[in-house]
Amino acid sequence: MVIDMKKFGEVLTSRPAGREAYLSAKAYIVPKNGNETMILDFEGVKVLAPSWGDEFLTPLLNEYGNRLVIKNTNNLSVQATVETLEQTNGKTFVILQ
Amino acid sequence: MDFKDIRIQKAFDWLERDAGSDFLMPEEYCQTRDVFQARLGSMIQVLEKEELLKETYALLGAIAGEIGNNSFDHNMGSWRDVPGVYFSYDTKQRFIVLADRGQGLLATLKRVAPELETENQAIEMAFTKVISGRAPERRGNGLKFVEGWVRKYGFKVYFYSNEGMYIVNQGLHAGESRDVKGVLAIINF
Repeated sequence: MVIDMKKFGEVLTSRPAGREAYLSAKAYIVPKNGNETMILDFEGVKVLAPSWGDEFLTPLLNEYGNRLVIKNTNNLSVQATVETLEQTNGKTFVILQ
Repeated sequence: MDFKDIRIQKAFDWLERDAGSDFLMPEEYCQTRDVFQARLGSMIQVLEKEELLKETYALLGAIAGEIGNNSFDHNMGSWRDVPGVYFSYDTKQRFIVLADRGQGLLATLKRVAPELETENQAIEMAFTKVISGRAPERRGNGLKFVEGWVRKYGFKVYFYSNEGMYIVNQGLHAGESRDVKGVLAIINF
């Protein structure tokens, strides 16, 4: 399945907002069962900060591992946040070029 | 960037006053995180329209977001007197300035790193190690992110925490410190 990240907002900053987005996604968007790959599409997101990303992306990476894929990461803040989270967590994201 | 700019001076003046109330204009004062988030979004729209910032506006928005949100993350219920942040910017002079009348880095980090004795030690730890005053929550990558990406793109961040001072891209500069009450950051792009 594909999650359109700009539906959470064009500016994704702050831990409380990231946590709220994660909980909402878990409740209403993320499939509860199965082995489906989940694609996070960042098209249209203007700013992603690591605090938001750590609350949303890190738990999904821990749960889905290589079944979590991110795409449309040309935005510099998305690239910077993904790289920062990879360094902090010691895990890499699968990025669809 | 001119340190004598009235918007930068106002940040210092606010943090050097004995009392923080009745000083800031409503349009430069973000009492709550919601107000800060809304004004951050407005600033990002302005930066995005600047031709020279087409590539880096997003990164500047993320850096300002990390610093501004840190004020709320680490001072809720512990402000010296007035809650919230001062937030201003100028695309021509190429700066973003943020300030809070909170505890500063030493007080927040000493709870998890009791060996810290000075603001400069706390600042250095905050910018170079993944550590958070909000343990056991697993946090603390925000200022490392600022450090790394500010260096990579040749920006500067002048960061003051009480009597401590650090310039990202240059290191600790104790001689240029000011005795502010709280945290003040100037992002020069």
